[in-house]
Amino acid sequence: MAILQVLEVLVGGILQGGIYALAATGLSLVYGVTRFLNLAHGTFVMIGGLLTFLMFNFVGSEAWWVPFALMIPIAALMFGLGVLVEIVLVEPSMERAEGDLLEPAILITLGLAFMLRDLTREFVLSTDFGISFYLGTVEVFGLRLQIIKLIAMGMIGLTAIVLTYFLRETYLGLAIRAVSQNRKGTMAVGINLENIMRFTMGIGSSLAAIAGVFIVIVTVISPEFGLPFVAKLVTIIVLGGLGSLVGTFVGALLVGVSESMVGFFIGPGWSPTVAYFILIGILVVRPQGIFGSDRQDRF
Amino acid sequence: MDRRTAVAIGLLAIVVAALIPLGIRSYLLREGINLLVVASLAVSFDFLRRVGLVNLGHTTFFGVGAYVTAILIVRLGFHPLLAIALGLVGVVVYSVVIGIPLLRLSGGYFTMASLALVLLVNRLAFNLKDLTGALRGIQLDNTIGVLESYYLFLGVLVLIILVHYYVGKTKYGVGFASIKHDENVARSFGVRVQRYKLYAFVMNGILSGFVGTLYVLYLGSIVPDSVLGLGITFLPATASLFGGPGTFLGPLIGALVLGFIDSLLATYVGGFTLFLYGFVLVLVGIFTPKGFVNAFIERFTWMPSIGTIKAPIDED
Repeated sequence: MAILQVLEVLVGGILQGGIYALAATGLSLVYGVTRFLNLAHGTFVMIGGLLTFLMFNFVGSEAWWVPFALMIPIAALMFGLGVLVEIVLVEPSMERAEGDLLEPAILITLGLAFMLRDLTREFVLSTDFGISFYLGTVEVFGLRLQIIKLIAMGMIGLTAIVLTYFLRETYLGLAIRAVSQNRKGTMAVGINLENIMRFTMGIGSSLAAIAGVFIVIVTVISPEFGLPFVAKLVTIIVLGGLGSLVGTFVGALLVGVSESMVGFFIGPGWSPTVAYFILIGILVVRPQGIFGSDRQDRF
Repeated sequence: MDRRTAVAIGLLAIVVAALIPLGIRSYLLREGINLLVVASLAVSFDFLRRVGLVNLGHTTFFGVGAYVTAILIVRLGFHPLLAIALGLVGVVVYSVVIGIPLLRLSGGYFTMASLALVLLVNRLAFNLKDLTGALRGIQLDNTIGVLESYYLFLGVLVLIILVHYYVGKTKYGVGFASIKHDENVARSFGVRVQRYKLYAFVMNGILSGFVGTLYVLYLGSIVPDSVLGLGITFLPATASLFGGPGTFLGPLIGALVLGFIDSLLATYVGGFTLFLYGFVLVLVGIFTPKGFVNAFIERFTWMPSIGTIKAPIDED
C-alpha cells in the first residue's frame, strides 16, 4: 500500500519534471545561442498558460483533446512574440552593449517580466487560473493513475522526441547547436547568425508556452508565477550541466521527482526549496553540473 | 573637477540631505528612509560587480541580517546592539557557506544560481515557523524613531560609500578590477582569484546585512515580504545596473532616481506601478546598456574627472 502511494507520487514527479524539462530546454537554447539571459522566460510560460485558458473558454468545448490541440496555435503565436522580442528589445541593445550582454539582459528581461505581469493582472486576470480536467483513472498493477496526466506525459514525451530530432537531424537544428558551440566558426561557414538567433528565440518561447499549456491542464497558474518559475528553471540548467541539453532534461526530472517526494514525506511547504538545496549540493561536488564538461559552452 | 571640488560637492550633498528632515512631513521622511536604504544596498551591490559578477540574490544578505537580529532580540531577549553584532556574524557565516559553492560558477551561470538564493531564503522564512513566525512575522517592542532612523541610515549610506571608495584604493580593489578585466591574466599575475571573489562576496554580504540589521529595528516588525519580497529584492540590483558600474556614483544616482520613480508611482498611480517600472528598465537596457550615469558622464565632457574615482585599473 505504502509502496503504491510512493509510486503514484513518483509518477506525479516525473510529469512535473517533464514540464520543467520543456521550459528549461527553451531557456537553455536561448541562452546558449544568444548569450542573452531571458528572465522573462517564466512569464512566457505564464502567457502560454493564459492563452490556453482563454482559448479553451472561448472554444467552449469540453472535449479532452481541445487544450492539447490548442498547443499548436499557441506555440505559433509565442514563436512570433519571441521573434518580436528579439528584434525589438534584444538586437538594439546588443549593438550598443559591445560584448557584455549580462547586465542589459537582466534590465530588459526583468523589465519585460514586470510589464507582462502587470498587464495580465490589470487587463486579463488577477487570480489563479487553470482548466480542471478529470477523465477518471486507470489501474496499472494496482497503481491508480489519472488518465489526463498520462496523456500529458505522452505529449511531453512526444514533444521531447520531436525536439531531439529537430536539433540532431535538421539543418536548422544543427545550425542552432553550432552557433552555441562556436559563433565565429558558424559565421565563417556562411550561417546567418541573426536569423538563427531570431529563430532560436522563437523556438525557446514556443517551448515555454507549451510548458504553460501543460501546467494549466494539470494544475493552476497565476500572473505572479513567472519570476519564481524562472528561478527554478535556471537552477535546473545549472545543476544539470552548463550547456548540456541532456543534463537539463535529467536535472528537470531529478528536481520534479525530488519535489514531489519531499512534498509527500516531509511536507508540501518544503518542496519548493528542494531544487535549491540540490543545486548547492551539486555545486560543492561537481561545479560544472551533472552532465557538464569542463568546456562550458557545449551542447 | 579636482579631488577637492569632488569632496566639497560630496559634503554639500550630505549637508543638504541632513537638512531635508527639517522641511518635510513624517510620511515623506519614511520615503526618504526607503531611498537611503535602497541607495545603501545599491552601492553595496556594486562590490561584487567589481569582480565582474552580478548577484541577483544580493538582498538575501539584507534579509538574513534582518531576520537573525529580530530573532535574537525577540526570541532570545538579547540586547539590540549585541543582536546587531551577532546578526553580522550570521550574515558572514551565510555568505561564506553560500559563496564557496556559488562562486565556482562564472558569468551568467553565477547570476542564474544567485537568483535561486532569493527563492530559497524566502521559502526558509516561511517554513521555519518557530523562528520566523512565517506570515505573522516577528514584532519588536522598541524601535528607533523616524527622525533618528533618517540620520542613522544617512550615516550608513555615507559609511558604505566611503568603504566602497577606499577599498577600491587598496590592493584588494586593484585585485578585484584585474579579475573583472581578465580572470586568467589576474591569476597568472598571482591574484588569488577564488579567494578575492569570496572576499568581495563577503564584503557585499556584510554591508547589506548591516543595513538589514538596522532596518528591522526601524521597521519594528518583520514578515517575509518586507525584507525578501519582490519589490525590495530587485530594486537595489536594478538601481545599481541602471546607474552603471565602476563608481559609487552610478549605483547611488541610479537608486535615488529609480527609488524616487518607484515611490512616486506608488503614491500617485497605485496598482499599475510594476508595468511603468518595468518600462523604465527596458528603455535603460536598450538605450544605455552600460548604465545611465555612465552614459551621461560620457556625453558631458565637463564631468569626466568624476570617472577617475574608481579602481586604479580602468575596467574597460
